[in-house]
Amino acid sequence: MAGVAVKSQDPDAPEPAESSNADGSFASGSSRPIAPWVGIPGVPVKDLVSHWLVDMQEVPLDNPDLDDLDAVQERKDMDERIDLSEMDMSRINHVLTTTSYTWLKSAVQSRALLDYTRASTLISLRRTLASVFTRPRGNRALQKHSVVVKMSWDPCHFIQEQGYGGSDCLLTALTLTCTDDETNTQLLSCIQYVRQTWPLIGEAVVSGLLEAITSARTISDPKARSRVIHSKAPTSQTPASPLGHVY
Amino acid sequence: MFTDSPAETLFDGTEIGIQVAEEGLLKVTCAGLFDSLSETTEVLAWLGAALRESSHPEMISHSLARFSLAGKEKIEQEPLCLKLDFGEAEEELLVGELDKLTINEGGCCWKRLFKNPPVVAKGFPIPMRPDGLAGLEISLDAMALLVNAPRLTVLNHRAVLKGHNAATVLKDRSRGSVMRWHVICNEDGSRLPFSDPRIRTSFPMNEEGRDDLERIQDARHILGWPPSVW
Repeated sequence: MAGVAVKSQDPDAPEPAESSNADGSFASGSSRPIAPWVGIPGVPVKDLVSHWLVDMQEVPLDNPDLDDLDAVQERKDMDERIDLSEMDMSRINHVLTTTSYTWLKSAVQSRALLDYTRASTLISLRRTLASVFTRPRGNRALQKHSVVVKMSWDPCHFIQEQGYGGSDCLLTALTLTCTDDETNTQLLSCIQYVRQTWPLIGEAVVSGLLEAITSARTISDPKARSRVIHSKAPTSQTPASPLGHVY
Repeated sequence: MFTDSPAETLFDGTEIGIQVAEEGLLKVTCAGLFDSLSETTEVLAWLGAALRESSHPEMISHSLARFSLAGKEKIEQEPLCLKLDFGEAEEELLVGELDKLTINEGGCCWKRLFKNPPVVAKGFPIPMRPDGLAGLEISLDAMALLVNAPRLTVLNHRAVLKGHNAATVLKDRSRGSVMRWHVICNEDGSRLPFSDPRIRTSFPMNEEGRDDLERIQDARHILGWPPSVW
């Protein structure tokens, strides 16, 4: 049976300290400590932890008195519930449904997951656009802007060269991509990377691209529409692009 | 708004119209809030950099997105016109983490995993990593796809993804939820059997390894390459 390691209970243990010194030790008689349930006056924290390791005991998880070993005393202020009025709850629920909150949540999640410090291309692009759209007054985030992007890139040619039947390959797990932040590299399918990096808008942009490709094929070849619609996603035997299987 | 091209409306009302204008050109019109507009441009830059073929058939190449503002003297007027074009970073061929992994020092070459030399879109964000954890981060399904493995096999407490002539073997859980794998392949294209000593004798799993199997779908995966292994 696996066990958890806990500090032995010492009835003679000193009372909790009241504050910490610069060296990490705790001193008595002053303001409220950050962690009042640990600490011995005059003993640096690192020595305190070393002491724990010396006294450590193995306790089985099925010990019926397991909760009694909890050295953290219950604190009322940690367990108090905040009573919110219906109006408060209504306001909170309203905030949670706004597009601003949706954007904020997505932005926080992306910045927590991804390393932007070496994403030079993305940062440069973002800064350039921000500098152009900076206005002398007002909130940039709430102003509407427009941009026309002209790309020297032919997605139809790429899909055709890779041997796919339909443009929907970009939505499958078979279209593999490599991305490099100048230090490390990640290999993901196209749609996985787009969802990871731009969770709110990435998939919509790819969908728009696929519609445009389909439209272009329909215009250039009236028979193409049926070919695109009825084409199947590549099977696992179809070489992935821009990478391929082992042969 | 965009009657001449399919339009997408984003969550905040930003509208995007995309046209395959002419051969080799794509025109995207975007109107809305700054953040969505900026992110749309970023997605387009990444798509153009990542989804392209290498002009160097035997090399891993880095693909760069370059952009410029058309008519700088008129940038106060909207819509802003942004030009995106793409190229390969010639001077940086065979430089970088992925390329280090291709060095053939022990018999198995990473390039053998790729039918076509990979094009690496450079300068876009990827997940943060613990310091010193080198290798190619890859999703489990992408790893299975690369080695053409139909399933995950547990062989004598070792997790193995095996295709015809290549396999990846789970080495350990390095830090936190990151799992490190190693690749084994027969360079001559011959079948790699489960009885191959490189699979049978490497990296026996311990108790912790058994726990790893339960977390394998939620974990991050790094395909590493220490030449000393081979």
